[in-house]
Amino acid sequence: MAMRQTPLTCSGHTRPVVDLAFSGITPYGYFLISACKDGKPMLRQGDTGDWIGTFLGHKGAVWGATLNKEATKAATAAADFTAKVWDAVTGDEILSLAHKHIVKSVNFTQDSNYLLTGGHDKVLRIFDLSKPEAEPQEISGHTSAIKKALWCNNDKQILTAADDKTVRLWDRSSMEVVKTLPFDASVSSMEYIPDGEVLVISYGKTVAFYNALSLELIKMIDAPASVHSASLHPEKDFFVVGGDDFKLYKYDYNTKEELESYKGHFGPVHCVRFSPDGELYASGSEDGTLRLWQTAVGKTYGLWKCVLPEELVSENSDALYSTAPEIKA
Amino acid sequence: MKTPVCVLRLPRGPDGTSRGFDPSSARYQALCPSTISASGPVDCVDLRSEQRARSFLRERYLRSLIAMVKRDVKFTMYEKVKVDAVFAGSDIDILNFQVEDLETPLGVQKEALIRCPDVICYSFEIDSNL
Repeated sequence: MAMRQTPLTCSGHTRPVVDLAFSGITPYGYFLISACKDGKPMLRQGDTGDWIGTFLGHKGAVWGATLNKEATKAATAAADFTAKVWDAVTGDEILSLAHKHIVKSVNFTQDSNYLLTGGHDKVLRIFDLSKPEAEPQEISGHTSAIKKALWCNNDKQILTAADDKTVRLWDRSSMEVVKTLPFDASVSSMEYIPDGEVLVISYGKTVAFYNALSLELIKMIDAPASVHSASLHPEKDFFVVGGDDFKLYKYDYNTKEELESYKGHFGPVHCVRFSPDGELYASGSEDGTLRLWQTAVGKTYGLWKCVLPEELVSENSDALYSTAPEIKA
Repeated sequence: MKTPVCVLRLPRGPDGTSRGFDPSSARYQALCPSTISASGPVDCVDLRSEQRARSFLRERYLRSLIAMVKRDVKFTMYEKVKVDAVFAGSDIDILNFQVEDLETPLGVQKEALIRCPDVICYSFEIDSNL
């Protein structure tokens, strides 16, 4: 019996949510960090959306946020010209790394020892977190603001997306560009899937999938509206797209068929990401909320409970309630 | 007509009173055995000497606050603010300083609270007799 998706709304932010990231799967589950223009990034339990804590310290909008695999460290990029590294267990600020302009993107290496940053000053920086007083390694080359910078190929290479409508692949040791991909429109989002070396890029109304090593196009689709963000399921069965029309779209990755579309947000969807186990995806919007959506609608997982129709009217169901999809937390 | 999926409850939001990171949570207890996180890689001996150094520094800082009471202090703050005041005391978390006779461009404020996160640095003169 087909069921209707009930998204879980996570409130708490007071301004648009512009970036979000999941950690890996840890012995305590997995976690989610959200970057917000209110300057207060938040950590949440990944499978329930329960708030764990708020990282306090930035004095400007936070544009990028990330967690390391073990969810023990967090990093944020902000409009106050700093990138900060945080202890994700205690919420304490560990490091504040000064930049010369707005910082947009932060990314840890697999071993959490190095932090990659990129922003409006057009320079890529690699900070050695075990030597915080040391000057970062700087890589120049972009002629416009860097929107996203990600480690790839076992941290041996770097992928960047910039306002100059290009995506570039850099070699870490030589600090040189290996390949450049030009686009007709500004790249709105970029996601790197290490398992299978897939790169997901969105620009205009298009979502394109590339081989992350060769930057060869695998496939692409056109969405009904301008795409702000896209994410590929870990098992590569589906991908989800969030756009300007406030909706989320779910596609079959193999057939490129649009499977579902969901309304719910009250503003453009700025970021969307699958959880590390693929059971849900999270979306962040201009409306200041994060929403969690089930990949398999109706399955018992996290706060969602599979309930058979008979159970809904029985006396045992008082702990559960059936809600309309557009509930507000 | 499709039935909407049931939920057990809604995700919990911020509690509004603290920044979170509950020290009694299982993860916190497991990953932060000491109440103060060490500044670098830890072994038993390092931690002990680091704790000793921390205690010494904290005691010295608290004594500096005591020495500062009733003295003129110059505060340098964000937004190019430099003000003079007479120090009266601090709260337990060193988040707010109570001051008297705070000299501001709008006049002298008899009693005021200065938010410590807004302060970049402050200075005062110790008696040479001490």
